[in-house]
Amino acid sequence: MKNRVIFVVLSLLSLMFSVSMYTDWRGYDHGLFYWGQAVLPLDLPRHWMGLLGTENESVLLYNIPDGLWMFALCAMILAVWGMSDKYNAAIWLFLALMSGVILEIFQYTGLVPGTFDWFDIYAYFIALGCIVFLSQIQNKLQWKNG
Amino acid sequence: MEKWIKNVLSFMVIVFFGYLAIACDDESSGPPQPVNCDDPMLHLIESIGNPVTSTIHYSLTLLDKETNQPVPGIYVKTHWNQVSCIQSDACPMHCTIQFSIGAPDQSAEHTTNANGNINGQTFPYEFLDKKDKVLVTFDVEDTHGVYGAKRISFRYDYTNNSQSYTAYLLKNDAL
Repeated sequence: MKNRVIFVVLSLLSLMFSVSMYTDWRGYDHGLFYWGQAVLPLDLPRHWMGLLGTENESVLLYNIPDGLWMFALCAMILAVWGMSDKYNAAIWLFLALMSGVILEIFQYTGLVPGTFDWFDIYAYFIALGCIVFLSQIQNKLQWKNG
Repeated sequence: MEKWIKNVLSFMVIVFFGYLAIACDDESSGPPQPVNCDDPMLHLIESIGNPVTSTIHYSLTLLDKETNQPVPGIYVKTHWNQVSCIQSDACPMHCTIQFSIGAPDQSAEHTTNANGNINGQTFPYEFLDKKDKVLVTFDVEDTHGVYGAKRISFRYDYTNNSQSYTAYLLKNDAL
């Protein structure tokens, strides 16, 4: 149960940062973002945009929010499955990753709004890698604690 | 938890996140319109490392253009406005330079002293970008009608917040 709570918290935190990047740095005021900010308020300072340097600013503005979205999705999947059923968790994590990749492909074909970006796909893979890594650490800690 | 419930929940999670991604992306009301981010009206954002909140200390000395002597007793109405680099929605790395709107009355009235000088300070302003400035405008008016009216503006920024300026007045009969 404790594991699941941690993954829910990680998912919400990740969504909170992602939503705030859209609203505070990209100036989005879509209704969903409004609710996201109302439920999970976080005010990101604008000068943080320069953390990666001007030439890498687009990574911070466009790719990292998408990576955080995938991280939140995967964390929520792990919250549903816990650490006991690794086989099914892995299948759903793969489906989650594919949903992100398919959305990018749909953006490329114009079926959904947005801009196709290879770096978004890299960000999805990195996000999946991070959540799997974190789940392994948590698994080891749980094993150590008996 | 039953396995089928987990499967349904996982499916719902993916659908919900997919909806978030589609509904939130770039105005779902149609294909995004191309925007020219090289438009000369747009400026590159140059964020200041740490935002600076600063009060502008302004100072103006009025001298007679002919004699170079200070002119006391001249009525000067000073008003000021912040000009900010406002992030563009379509080009997040660019901004447009805009006056702050909806601000309360930002002005002060002065009369030059024996040295022909007035000085004062503005409200505190927050500077987020290197291009953020406070525009201070002096409306100079000689109530005795000896000197011609004049309007002078100076721009202050976070690195230059207490500059003194000198202006020269021409007598009406010389105009």
